[in-house]
Amino acid sequence: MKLYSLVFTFNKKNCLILALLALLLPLLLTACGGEDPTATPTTAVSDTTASTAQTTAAQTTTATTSSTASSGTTAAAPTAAVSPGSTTSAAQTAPAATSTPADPAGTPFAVSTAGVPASPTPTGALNPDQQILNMAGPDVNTFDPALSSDTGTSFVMRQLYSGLVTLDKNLNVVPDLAAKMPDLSAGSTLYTFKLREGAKFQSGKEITAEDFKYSFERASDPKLIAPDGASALPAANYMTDIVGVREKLDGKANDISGVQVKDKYTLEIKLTAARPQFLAKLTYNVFFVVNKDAVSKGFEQVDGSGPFKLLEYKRDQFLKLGRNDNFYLGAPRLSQVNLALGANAANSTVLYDQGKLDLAGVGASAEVERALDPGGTLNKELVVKPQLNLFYLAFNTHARPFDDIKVRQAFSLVVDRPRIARAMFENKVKPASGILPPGLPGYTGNPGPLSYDIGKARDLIAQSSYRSPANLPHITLYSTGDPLAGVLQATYKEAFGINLEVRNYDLREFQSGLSQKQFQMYLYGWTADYPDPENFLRSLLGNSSPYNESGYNSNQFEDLMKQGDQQTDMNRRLEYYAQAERLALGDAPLLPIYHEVSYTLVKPYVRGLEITPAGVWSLKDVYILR
Amino acid sequence: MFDQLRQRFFTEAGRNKPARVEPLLPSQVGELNLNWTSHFNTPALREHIEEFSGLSLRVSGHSDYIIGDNWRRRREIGQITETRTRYQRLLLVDQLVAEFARRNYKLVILGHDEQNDHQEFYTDAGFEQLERIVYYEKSDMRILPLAEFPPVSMETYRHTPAQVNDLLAVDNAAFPWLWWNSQAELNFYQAQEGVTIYLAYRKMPDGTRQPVGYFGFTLYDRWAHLDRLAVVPGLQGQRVGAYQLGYAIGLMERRGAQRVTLSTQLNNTRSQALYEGFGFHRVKSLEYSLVGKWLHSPSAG
Repeated sequence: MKLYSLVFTFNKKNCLILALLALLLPLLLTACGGEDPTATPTTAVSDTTASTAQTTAAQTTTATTSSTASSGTTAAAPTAAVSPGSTTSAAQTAPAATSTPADPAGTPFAVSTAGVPASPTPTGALNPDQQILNMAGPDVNTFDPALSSDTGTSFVMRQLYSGLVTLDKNLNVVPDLAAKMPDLSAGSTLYTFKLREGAKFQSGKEITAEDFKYSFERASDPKLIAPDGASALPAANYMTDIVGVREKLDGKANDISGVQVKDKYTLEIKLTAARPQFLAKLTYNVFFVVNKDAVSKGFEQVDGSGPFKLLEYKRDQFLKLGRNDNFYLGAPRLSQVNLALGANAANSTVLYDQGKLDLAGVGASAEVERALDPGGTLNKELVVKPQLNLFYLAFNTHARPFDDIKVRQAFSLVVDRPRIARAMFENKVKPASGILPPGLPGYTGNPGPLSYDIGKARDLIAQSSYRSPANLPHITLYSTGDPLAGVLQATYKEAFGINLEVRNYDLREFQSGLSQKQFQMYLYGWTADYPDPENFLRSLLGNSSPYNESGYNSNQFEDLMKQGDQQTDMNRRLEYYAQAERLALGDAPLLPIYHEVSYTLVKPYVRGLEITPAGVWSLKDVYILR
Repeated sequence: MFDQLRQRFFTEAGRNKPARVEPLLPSQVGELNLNWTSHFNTPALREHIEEFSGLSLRVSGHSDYIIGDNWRRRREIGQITETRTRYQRLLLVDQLVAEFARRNYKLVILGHDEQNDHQEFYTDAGFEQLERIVYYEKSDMRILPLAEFPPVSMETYRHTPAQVNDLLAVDNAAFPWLWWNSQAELNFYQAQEGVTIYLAYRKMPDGTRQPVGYFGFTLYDRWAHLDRLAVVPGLQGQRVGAYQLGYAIGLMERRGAQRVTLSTQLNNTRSQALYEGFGFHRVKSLEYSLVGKWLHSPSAG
């Protein structure tokens, strides 16, 4: 919060200087022969991957938290600077200027100066036979970007597809299939995108504005059935700022009136109102472009526009990606990516030790302790990154006994979150007090209205409609196999003397039960799609969100969120969101438990990998140098 | 987007740590992460370690620990009451078993939760089922009048030195070695709330009397659990047990019990026949096994 306002005042006062800088910098660069990628700030940083750009093991978690905080603020700062801008032209230049300082707006995109940071220049000769990356990960739920809603699937989507804009390693919005940042007009509600000319799908077909219009309309088509039978589409969470999407989702329109093709390479998107976070939202999977011809044949053969194409997939076993030679930023250096899934992904640290995996997420394991030792050999291979995520316990507000707010509050009050972080995770995670993670704009660090208090919890049960824990109905807790479920079982046994049943499902079953709102209480997590409080608050608790599985529905919450949306002043906007967060915490539809820190071991020969606080990596610039 | 909770924290933490085992001292209890499912809180564990000194161990520098003591206050039977460790269970159990052996214990038995929670581990470590315990319940207090009363009289146990000797003599004669009560156990048991013990005596022709059996039960809220029913070997099958059982049920009923429960060994068919004759039925869901490991030849018992 403090850091943020500092940056903000700086921007406001020096708006002119920033705009000037933005105009001059690309000119200067071109004058100096700006082909050299190391001359641009973005590439200079990404060249030094595991040593400086990311926090290595030697640095402390606190240090990384503050670095995330500042990256979060820079991501949000441009949007704050945009809105108060008195003229449209100021609003147009500011975002492009601050988020991509090296972007020579208006000039054709050479690879090295594109808004998307170019691949770092290898410091030695690459052996083309060695460009294979082996890693492990969670399984994918779908290959349809319009239906992707979890991190495991999103990671694969990010390699196979792309959209108009994307997030760079600091979570700033940068152009991707768009040739430059869009022009804003009509009070910042009309976005005009110029597409990169000559960009192709993997099959070789050129990508045009029509493809985007088709993709957006397809993603919000109620006839698009999710594999788990859910009728609620991700579009309902991400696309509804666009004029006409609601009508399309409700089946009242055939097309999205707010998305217009001006010519082959020009796309206009009209919003219902000014939304400073819209461009960030636009980076999400649901806005990725798909090829109509390929989609009509299903997703057995993926034809995306991302740096990699799908070679082979065996559910629960493995997934293989191959280089897309048609990729518009130049083919990636990796020729193949092998992703071990399911049982093959278990014991990933052992496989990493044996050299069978080139990178492995290790969590708070013994390897982390080993690697955190500055004298240890693994120390240089560990990348620590606090994540913009939240792991939480949710209550179904429409099911007994959690339709009673006092029961929800009581069940929240007995969970000792600092103790869970300490005893279960050995302090390798950050106990949560609110919904928003540290580092996200709007994070307050306030303790929240419901902190550990067993006596108060027992009183609340006595005051509830059930009067005594003995009268509570049988309660089942659902999870995807997390040991935290067992800890909660013991917690509730101790606090209330009740026997909670725990059921563990695999992710697909879990997701399916979840979207049918069958679960009484469940453990799940949310990772930021873009660094804005709305992404957490409205996605998880908004009454029109397809992800609001707890069924929370509060008019007061909706009002506060709406008032927040309408603010042009970023600080005031965050204040409304903070009020909404506090209200929801008191109503207790969910209990935030912890925020994760990612610990990833990366072999020293893996170069160009950026591990971001949003958890989903791009392999576009990765290469192997032995 | 949704994100799965991470399992790896639990499954991998602590693996491959170099480990050295040392006795857990009362002063170190505060350093442990006594978790939710522990039998102990910090002062209780401190007291426990003071009582059973040297029978609790920890991995040096870590919060992995094992708690041992005497099974049912028997000096020759050890118990593994609780372990809290991710990867050092084998090391901790081996060391504690070795310590029991050094102290000439004959047998080590697993605490109930310990056995339930780590069944496969203990099977692999050479622990075996010693007894199968069956559970009986009688859901009314009706008893059939006995056709023939044995010539015994019942006497309330008042913890006099003579009674203590009589009871222990009957106990050790009537039960197999494993189930013997030690004097410490008896003292502990009779001091528990709700416990009633009666001794059975037979009048001898020479005017003296001989202890021939005893029973003990605990009265709970509207039900009673028969903890012990003993008959000396020479008189078994002569309805001394039936007489005592009828006597006990009558007492329980007068004190407000509406049902009776008990447990016995699966291989003790004679006692099962007696209970079934009294209208007890087996409750299979409450049966369990007693699992342990002999440190010397079983015949030593």
